Amino acid sequence: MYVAAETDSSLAQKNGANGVEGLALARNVKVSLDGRHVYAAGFGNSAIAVFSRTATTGKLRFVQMVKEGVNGVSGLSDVASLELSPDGGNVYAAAVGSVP
Amino acid sequence: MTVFARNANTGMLSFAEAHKQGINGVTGLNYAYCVAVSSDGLNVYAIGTYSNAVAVFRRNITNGTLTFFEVKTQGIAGVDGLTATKSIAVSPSGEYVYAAGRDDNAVAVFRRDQQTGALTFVEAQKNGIKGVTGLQGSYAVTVSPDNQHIYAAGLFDNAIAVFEVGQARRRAVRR
Repeated sequence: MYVAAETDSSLAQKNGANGVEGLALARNVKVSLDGRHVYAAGFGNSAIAVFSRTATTGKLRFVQMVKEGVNGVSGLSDVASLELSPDGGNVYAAAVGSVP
Repeated sequence: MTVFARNANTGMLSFAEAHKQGINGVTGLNYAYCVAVSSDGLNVYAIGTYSNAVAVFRRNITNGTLTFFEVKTQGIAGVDGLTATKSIAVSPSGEYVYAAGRDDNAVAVFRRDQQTGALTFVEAQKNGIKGVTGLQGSYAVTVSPDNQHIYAAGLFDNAIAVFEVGQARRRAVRR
């Protein structure tokens, strides 16, 4: 994920830097309706990377990675797309590699 | 199709469940490529590129878990425009669902039952038919916030096709 203001490219979040995980081959990104968090689908990691967002600056801070096969997570293999519910209570992911 | 519960304060996700092609009667999810949630929160729609289909789920508004409801598949009951589908969008009003069919160079239009979320096929807008251009390799579709226009990305046309809702006709193509 790359976040850049017109005069400031220092906001970038890159896989493997500063503890950021789950962004390999990032394919999709969504902002929660409350503006507090950003979610990215990392196709190459079969993972979703979670960031908290500072509204005034847009700056992101890595919070969490959920990944196929870790802590019981299933259905994220080669994740391609994600969406939040309007009430903010859920994240839904479509993963092309998720086969029985 | 994977469901996570979201902690609104921390943003952290907790795995809830996964719905997979061929398990517990779920179909239409082969190569699940895109997902959309209706604005009323009652349904989740996902497309399976290799299924040429839209899978319809009903959503539990208390915990967000899903129940498979139905599937709309290319070539069945008159459904068209879903071959190698790559994108799905629900209109903000919740009245329509649109899917981009890459290999049909098309946008498939469904009317949505706002009580059940069930879909009824309306039409397929196809490249080269009735003046439609810019839809070659139809790859992504989105709806304007006022529900009045549909925008579709034509991967192989290097274009965006613009449709006016209700008129069911192409207005312009931006390249």
